[in-house]
Amino acid sequence: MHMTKRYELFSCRYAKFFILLLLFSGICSGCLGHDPLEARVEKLVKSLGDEDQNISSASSYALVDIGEPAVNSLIKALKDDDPQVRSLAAYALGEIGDQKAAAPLIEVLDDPSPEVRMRAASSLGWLRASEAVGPLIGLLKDENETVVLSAVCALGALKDPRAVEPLLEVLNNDDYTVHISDDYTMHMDVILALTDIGDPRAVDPLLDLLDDTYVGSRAANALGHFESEEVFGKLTKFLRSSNPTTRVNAVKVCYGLQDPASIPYLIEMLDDKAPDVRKEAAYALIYFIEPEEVAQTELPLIDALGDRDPEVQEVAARSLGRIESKDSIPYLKELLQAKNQNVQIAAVAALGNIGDPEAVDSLTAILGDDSWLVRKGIVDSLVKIGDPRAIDPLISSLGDENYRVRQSAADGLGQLGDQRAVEPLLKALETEREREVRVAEVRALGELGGPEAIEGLRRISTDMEEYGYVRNAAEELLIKIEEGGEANVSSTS
Amino acid sequence: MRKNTLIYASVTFLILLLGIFWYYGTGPDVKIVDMHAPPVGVRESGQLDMVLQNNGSKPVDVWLEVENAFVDKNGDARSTSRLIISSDSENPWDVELVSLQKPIHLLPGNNSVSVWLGYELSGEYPVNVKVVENSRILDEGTCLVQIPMPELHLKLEYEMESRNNSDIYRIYGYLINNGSGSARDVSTNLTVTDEQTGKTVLTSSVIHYVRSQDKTALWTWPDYPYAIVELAHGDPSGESYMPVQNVVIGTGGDQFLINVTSTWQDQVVSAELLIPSEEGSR
Repeated sequence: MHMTKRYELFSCRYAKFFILLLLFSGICSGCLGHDPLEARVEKLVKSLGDEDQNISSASSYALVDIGEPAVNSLIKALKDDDPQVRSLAAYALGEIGDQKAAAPLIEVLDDPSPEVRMRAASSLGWLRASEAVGPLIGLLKDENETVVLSAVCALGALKDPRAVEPLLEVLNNDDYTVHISDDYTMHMDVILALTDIGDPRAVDPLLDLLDDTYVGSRAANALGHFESEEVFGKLTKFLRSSNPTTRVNAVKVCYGLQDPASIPYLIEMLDDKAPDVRKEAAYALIYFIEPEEVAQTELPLIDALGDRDPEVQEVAARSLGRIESKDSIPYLKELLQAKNQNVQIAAVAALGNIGDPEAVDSLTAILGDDSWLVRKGIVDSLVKIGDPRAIDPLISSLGDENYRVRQSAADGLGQLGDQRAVEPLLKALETEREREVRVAEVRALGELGGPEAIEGLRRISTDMEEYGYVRNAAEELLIKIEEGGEANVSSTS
Repeated sequence: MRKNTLIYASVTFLILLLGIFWYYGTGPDVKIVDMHAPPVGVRESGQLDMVLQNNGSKPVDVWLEVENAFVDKNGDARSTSRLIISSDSENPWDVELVSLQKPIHLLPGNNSVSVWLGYELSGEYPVNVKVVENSRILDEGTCLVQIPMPELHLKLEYEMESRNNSDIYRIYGYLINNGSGSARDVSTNLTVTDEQTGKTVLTSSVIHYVRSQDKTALWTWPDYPYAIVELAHGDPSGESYMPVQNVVIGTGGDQFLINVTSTWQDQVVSAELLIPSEEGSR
């Protein structure tokens, strides 16, 4: 009886039902198989703990590539026993940028591993997670300086004014060793963070740093990003400081502010007893190019051309070129004979910027200078002036011993558009060996056009022993000429 | 009893058929409609451009399995890590670089997809692409990618200048590639031999890269030659010729053979110059 029941159970209704159930579950398990993306994420998260750094890093990059579908697994990985897994998970969460990672990342800011705290802090900065401001401020007191550095950068990224006072405390803390061994990294990063936040409470502490030899320049740069009304009134005291470092950095603040109210101070500082201050003042005046500003700065800058320090002369010449001072031409022409090469080059460049044909003969007269930098400067300035008298000197510069001078001359002949240059350019191409000069000559022929130039370009475009770059340039120019468009080939190689 | 068994078996068979049909017969309709890869230079990155057509009315996420996209110098295929998805916009920069670590999203209609390619040896490689969705292969295609050889040759020339008591020979040279494949890591050796004694007086070696149908100068510094031979008819000039490194100083009666040999994989080319020589080159 008992046996019959068992037989019935396996052979009849139940057995068939059981077979059906098995078939169903088989089909369903096939259809609802493990998601391959999920499986991949799990495998990659496991690999974050691999001993081989290449594998663990590559896995973190792959998880970043996967993005949002990896976020939940990475959040779970923040609680892994292995600090390497937690650290790379924190990094990947920041890179992915999903806001739901913010709260779990805040939780690991007190992780026992400094690497994890550092990565979590950085990632919270990338996430722009405003709820992290408080915990990140707390992290500024971390025992590990690298963690503090990450918290500083993250607070800068969050731009929350609540961080200003705590950051200023870090700025005043001289106990950190990182900034001594690593060129004041901590102070520099705090300054950057304060600049990013842009809160006026940072102005006074930053002004107090202007006397610092290491970070004073960084503080000056930061102050230049604030509104002038918040800074300039307080800056005047520093412009008149007895410390030359402070005065130099105070002038640097003026670059950023570009407040016309600083012009009288800067002019006064052109007579400062410290050459570095005079140089910075001459340079700062470059930023004031409105006619009423130039009216104030032109004469003092011309006077500065006679400064006893060549560096001041050089900067004054450049500033006069920038403001296109025609009154300075006779003085700049005199400086063409200066013994100091940098002064000479600055005068050449300034005359080019001013663009007055009056300077052409003086510039051409020193085209035989020993320094290729001077010769190249002259070629560039002659092209800027654009006077037809420049053509012959430029043609002769195609044979200069320095390739940069030859290249500038070829570029210039193309720009000036004088047909007299076609034949010399074709002749130069017969012997020129440098690729960059050849391409400049080819481009110049393209600019000049005409049957001879086109014939030359055609020859180059089919020469299989030509540099590919030059051949392609010739080909492109021919196409443009044939299409009737303006020939203009990109100068990037 | 038998009737019942027959019914159950039929129902089971029917369900099995339905299951198989559901599993294998109702995947998204995605086809590879175009595959194209221009020739790629050895050790240069190339691209296999494909058009995947999603014939459905909804977007579909598929995986791409690519074989032979990267082949190393031992002929072993490496996995492809990234590919490019184009939005089919006219702007060539309007593309998305995505990872093969996740499915790609195909919109209804044509989708342009490019796979990075890279090979360390020249030849012809069948790149096989499978479009997969939940382990189902929706379509598969193969494209033969050509990795052409470079055709190298060398050209040497010189200029002679007589200064004071010396004849100064400035030697220039080019590594020229007339082939359609570029050549990376071309080892170029210079040997200068004293023709009278047969002794090697100078050797140097530099690695060059030359693109397809291009040439590269053998000299390092612009405006300075590849090598200098000074033949002094009295005291040598004493010039260092810096920054030129390949400098040979001889006397009036000396004759030097300049040999340059470039080697790329199993391709070896050379050129020679005899200094001084009436013909100038051999």
